[in-house]
Amino acid sequence: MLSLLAPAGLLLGLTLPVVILLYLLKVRRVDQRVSSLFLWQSMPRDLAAQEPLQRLRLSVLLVLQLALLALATLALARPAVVAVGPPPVHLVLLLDASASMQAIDPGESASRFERARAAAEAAVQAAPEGSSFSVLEARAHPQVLLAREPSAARALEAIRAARVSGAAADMPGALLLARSLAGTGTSRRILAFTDQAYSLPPSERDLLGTDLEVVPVAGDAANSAITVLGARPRLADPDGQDLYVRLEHFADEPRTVEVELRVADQLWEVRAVELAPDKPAELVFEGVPTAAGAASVAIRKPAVTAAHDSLSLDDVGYFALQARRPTQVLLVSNGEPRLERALTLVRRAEVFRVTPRRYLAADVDRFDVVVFDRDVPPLLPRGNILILGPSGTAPFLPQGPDQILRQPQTLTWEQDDPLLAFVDLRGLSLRRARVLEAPAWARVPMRAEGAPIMLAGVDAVGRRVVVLGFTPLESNIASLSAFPILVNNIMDWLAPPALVSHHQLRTGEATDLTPLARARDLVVSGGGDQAARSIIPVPRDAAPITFGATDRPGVYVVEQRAQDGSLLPEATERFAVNLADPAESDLRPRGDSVVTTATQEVAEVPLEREFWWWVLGLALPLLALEGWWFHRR
Amino acid sequence: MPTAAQPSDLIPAELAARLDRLSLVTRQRLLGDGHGERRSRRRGSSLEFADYRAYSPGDDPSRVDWNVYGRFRQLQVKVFEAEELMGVSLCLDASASMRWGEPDKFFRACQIAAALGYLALAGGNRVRVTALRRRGAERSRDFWGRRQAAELLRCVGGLTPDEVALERDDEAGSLERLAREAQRGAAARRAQLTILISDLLSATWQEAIRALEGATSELVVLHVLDREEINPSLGGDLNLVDQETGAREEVTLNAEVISWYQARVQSWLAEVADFCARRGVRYVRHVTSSPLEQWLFRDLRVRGVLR
Repeated sequence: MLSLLAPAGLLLGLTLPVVILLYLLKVRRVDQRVSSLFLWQSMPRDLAAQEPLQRLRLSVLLVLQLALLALATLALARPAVVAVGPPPVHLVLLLDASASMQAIDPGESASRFERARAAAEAAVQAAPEGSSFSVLEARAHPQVLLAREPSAARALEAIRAARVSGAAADMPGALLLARSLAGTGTSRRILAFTDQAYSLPPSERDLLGTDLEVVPVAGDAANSAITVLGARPRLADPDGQDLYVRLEHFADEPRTVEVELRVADQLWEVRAVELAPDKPAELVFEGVPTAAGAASVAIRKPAVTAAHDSLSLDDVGYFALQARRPTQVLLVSNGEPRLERALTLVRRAEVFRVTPRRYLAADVDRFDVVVFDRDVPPLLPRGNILILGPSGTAPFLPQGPDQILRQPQTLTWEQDDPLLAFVDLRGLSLRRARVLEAPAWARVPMRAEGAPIMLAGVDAVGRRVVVLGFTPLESNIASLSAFPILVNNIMDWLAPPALVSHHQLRTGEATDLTPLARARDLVVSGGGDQAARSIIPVPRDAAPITFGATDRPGVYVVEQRAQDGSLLPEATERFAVNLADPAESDLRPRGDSVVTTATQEVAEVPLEREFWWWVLGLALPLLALEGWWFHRR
Repeated sequence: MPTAAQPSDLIPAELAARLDRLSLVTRQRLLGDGHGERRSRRRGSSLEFADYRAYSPGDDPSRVDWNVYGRFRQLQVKVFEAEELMGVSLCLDASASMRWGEPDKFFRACQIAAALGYLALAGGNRVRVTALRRRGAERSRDFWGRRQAAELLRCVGGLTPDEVALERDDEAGSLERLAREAQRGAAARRAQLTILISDLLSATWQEAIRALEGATSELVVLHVLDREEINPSLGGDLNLVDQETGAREEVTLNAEVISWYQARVQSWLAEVADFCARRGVRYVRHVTSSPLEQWLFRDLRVRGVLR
């Protein structure tokens, strides 16, 4: 049955007589003088007329324009065919892309995620005509793949493009996103395709409401998993580490498995472990050499069969064995034994000395910290710096002649400043000290007679700078017990942080990468996919970079490249990423998170299927034909 | 409102110098009523020396007998047996349709008339100028001899075309009627060569040519047109207004109509040429956008009007 949804649109049809009237009216012509009409007089007379109205002549243009107007009128009235069927809905499809969805249940050939995608595709194909679709992925950071798309084909494309992750999903966040995307209309449906291998706190169960339909894709799956990994340096052996591993067995029957340790890809040790249901087993591997760089533990393959283990992702655990690199310190001095001795006492520091005359010949950018004893070059190095007793035209001094404090009587210092922690300066006696000029970025931990004699801060190019207005020779500081503590504090603060802030991560977690100031970019590779490489440009101020592309378990290698593209070999670090999530490894469905799907009887309703776009589609070629005809005259 | 042209505007000095090397051509022996530089049937068929006469200003210096001058210190001109004086009538269409184009068709017609009149006077012929106007034919006095060339040029330069008609006036300025008037005058003065300079944009152009043809021994039609009249660049919905009669014609100038008009013009031009050819009338067309000098020295010589 045909109906018009906007009959008022037919009013446009009133313009049809206007078109005809325009053809009856003669055109307004411009006077144009010619030498004579003699040659024009025998012209065909169809364009000449003496009356304001002319006889209506049927022309192709008139017919085309009337047809166009008629079609536009019909389209404006929104013609529709009335049919009976289910009402269109807004279908929100939430695909659980957590690590547990990689599991292959017994008796199934496809993973849970593949089955979830197939179910979602079936839901799209079964949706009533006129429905719209939204597609979301529930992963560590939920993603919207498609929002309110009326095309079922686009929805199917989005579902096929969805990928399962190696991390736990933020299911509450995904559900909240799904609900906000669904809106408040009555025609919405939220379908969650999940294995329900997650637990929701009671406070978050309200998020689900009653309009969520869970389509379960789980089976009766057993799984043995490595759920906790840890590495710590051995106190007795600084070059070795102890590795801690916890195994859990999520099944009803006990089993025995073999666990192997590989160090630098070489088999190191194999142990048999009895696994009881819901009773963790713990293993410690001692004395693994840090120099190996990486190690892994795995539940041995022969013991893992489809019948007993549905998820292989958590059968392997990785370790990054990272020894902290010693801080490279360059002392630029003509000889100051007490300062040099204090520096050598600093933990994890390698001290090198060069005289000021040979400073320019040294590769200063290789050093993490450069200590200037009085002589300061005009061009400061890229690394962090400590300056003692600057003089002449050195930076951080006021303009003009040096302002020298001789035997100042009052000395104040900030006890809360980290550089002066546990530093007792009450016995400090200064023979002379230079007054410093504090830039905007610097703090003043120490003053003499109210004038700054110590500065510390991070300058405009991201370099850490500490300046002392006096040297050990100009004071008795070297004889105080506070001196090595002060030097240690300063070097601790100046020593660059480790490249990788966390060396053991769970999938989906982020770590901070703090590059060297001389690095141009970072190259992160690994994660089980040797071909995958992320190249991250280093910011100008070498600020820490948060790296979160840790979706795959494995050992990741972070390399730093210099400005000329060469690798900085001493600046390479590793970190390990593991699933290590008992909630994901426990593949058994949990009743507390199941929301019963309410099967609703949907009454068929009359549906009006508009076809005005077909009408307009017919008008377009007519319009083109009309234009062509007009211009060919 | 066009002003009268100066003689130097009509014929620049360089053009006049080149014109001295040309002369008008007639196809048949003519009857004259005085002495000139053309041979007459009455005096026989050979060009033979007959006598001397005293030199008068305007005579061709090449005809001066310098031997006689050396002997008697008198300028004597040789007179040949068959020389006759020819009457040349220059009929200039001064209707409003000639006040059109770029350059103005009437100005170009005046230039042509001046050049041919100068040539005729230089050849020792008698020249009369007749302007064909709406109110009737306007005749000048006769000019004779080279010394009256300046007066002839002043006369031609002083002519102006009719004003633009504001009312419909089809027949008042009929070319045929004017031609008949001109023909009466020409017959009375026994003109042997009549040169009509016109755009022929009149329904009675054929009658006009016929009328002039009957009144003269030889007729030359110089057809002056503007390029825009042959290939109009107009377009759109227009009300065409006749410059001469004030009549109006509503047209929509699209590509189809322009093509029709161009075909119509070509057909008409061919018709005019054919009409003239059938009557032994020499016909030469001139488009005002083309250079005058080139047309005079090439086209008119090719068509046998000048040599």
